[in-house]
Amino acid sequence: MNLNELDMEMLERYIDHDLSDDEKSSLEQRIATEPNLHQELNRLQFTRDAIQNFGLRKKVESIHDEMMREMKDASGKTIQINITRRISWYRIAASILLLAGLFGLYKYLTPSPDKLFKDIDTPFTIGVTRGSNDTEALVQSYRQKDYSTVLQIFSTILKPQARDIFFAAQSHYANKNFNQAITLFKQVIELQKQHHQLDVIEDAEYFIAMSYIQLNQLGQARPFLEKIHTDPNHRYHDKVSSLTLLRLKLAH
Amino acid sequence: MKVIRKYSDSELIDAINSPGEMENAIKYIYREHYQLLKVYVLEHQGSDEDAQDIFQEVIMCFVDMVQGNKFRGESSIKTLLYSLNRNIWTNHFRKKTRSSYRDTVFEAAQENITEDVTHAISKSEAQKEIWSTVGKLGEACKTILLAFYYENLSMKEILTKLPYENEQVVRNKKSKCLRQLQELFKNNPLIQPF
Repeated sequence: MNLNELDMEMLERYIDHDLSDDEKSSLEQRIATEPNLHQELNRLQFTRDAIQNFGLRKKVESIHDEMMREMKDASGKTIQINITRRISWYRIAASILLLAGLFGLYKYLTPSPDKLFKDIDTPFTIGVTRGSNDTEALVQSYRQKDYSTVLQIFSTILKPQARDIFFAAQSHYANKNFNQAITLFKQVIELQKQHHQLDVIEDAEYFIAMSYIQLNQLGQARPFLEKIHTDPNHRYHDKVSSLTLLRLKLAH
Repeated sequence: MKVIRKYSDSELIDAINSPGEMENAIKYIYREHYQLLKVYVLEHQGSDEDAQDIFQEVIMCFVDMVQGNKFRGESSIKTLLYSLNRNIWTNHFRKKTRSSYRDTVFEAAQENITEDVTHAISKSEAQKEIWSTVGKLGEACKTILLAFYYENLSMKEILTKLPYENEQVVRNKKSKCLRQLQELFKNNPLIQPF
């Protein structure tokens, strides 16, 4: 049954939040008992939502066009300033001033690789994983800290996936075989990039940096730590402050 | 010098939910993620134009998920955008081609897709028919309906932007346009719940 003009007008004012409290309450009672009124309300709300979504689409299109233009002639015209980083540089400047007067602080700022390692060390936490029987056995052994079994299983996997390599790398890392760990972590990054996966890249980057610190190759650790520091969404971002980078630089 | 702020994930979510900040937040997503997501499409037989279209759909899905509280931060925004990009392109490519090679190439891409991502993508597909129907309205109607329902302008504010005599005329025009759009929806069997 078609609604009359007055009902249509009331429904439109209802979705526009243009009814008085009494009108609203009375209409809501009718909507609850009159299915055709309820159905028409659903249609009106659907139409309103469609307009809002269309508006968002138009907005995204307009931003898209603007951004494509910006990216096209973005050859250095726009200088991005990471406000967070700028504030951090002020902190560094303050630290440098203090350094000039305080020998104790100087000692603090020139740590041994061991001290630096302890300051930013954090254990790897393993999440839920799925995979083949071999992978599961490998992960299970890793959970039990049975690193030699992890490496033994790993050596039998013909086509290891990024996660298999990652756990083998972690096992080398736990056994303090840092050179082997670095080699495998780098393979993990390459493999994940090839397959457009991101899940353990950030872990691999962090543990490569930590391995280099353990090997006293601070210059090699630096680009990885800088990347972690620059990306506010990096999983290990909180572990690497501007001060960490400064100390790394001074210790190198 | 142009200063462009950076957002953490939680700041970005707040900005997407704030009408005044949303545009800057979307621009930030373009600057941070467009190039990487574009590479994925290009490496999977897409063109530059495909990459641009897919990225716009990614943004629409992302905004829809955030505003509908469907993104609860289980993964980083970077990972979510990547997943949306991969899956939207996969769907798009499947429609374009029909070869077994396609299934092999994209088998892995469908792994680990969450229910929320699936829902956002299928909703996005349905939206295209709706956008096309809204697009059939006359320009005057689109302008007035967008001003009222998307920009949330009052009748008085709309009157200052459009050449109508008074607020009542604007109100009548808006009602007429709304019903016209309802009729277009009713006449399109592909659109639910009409």
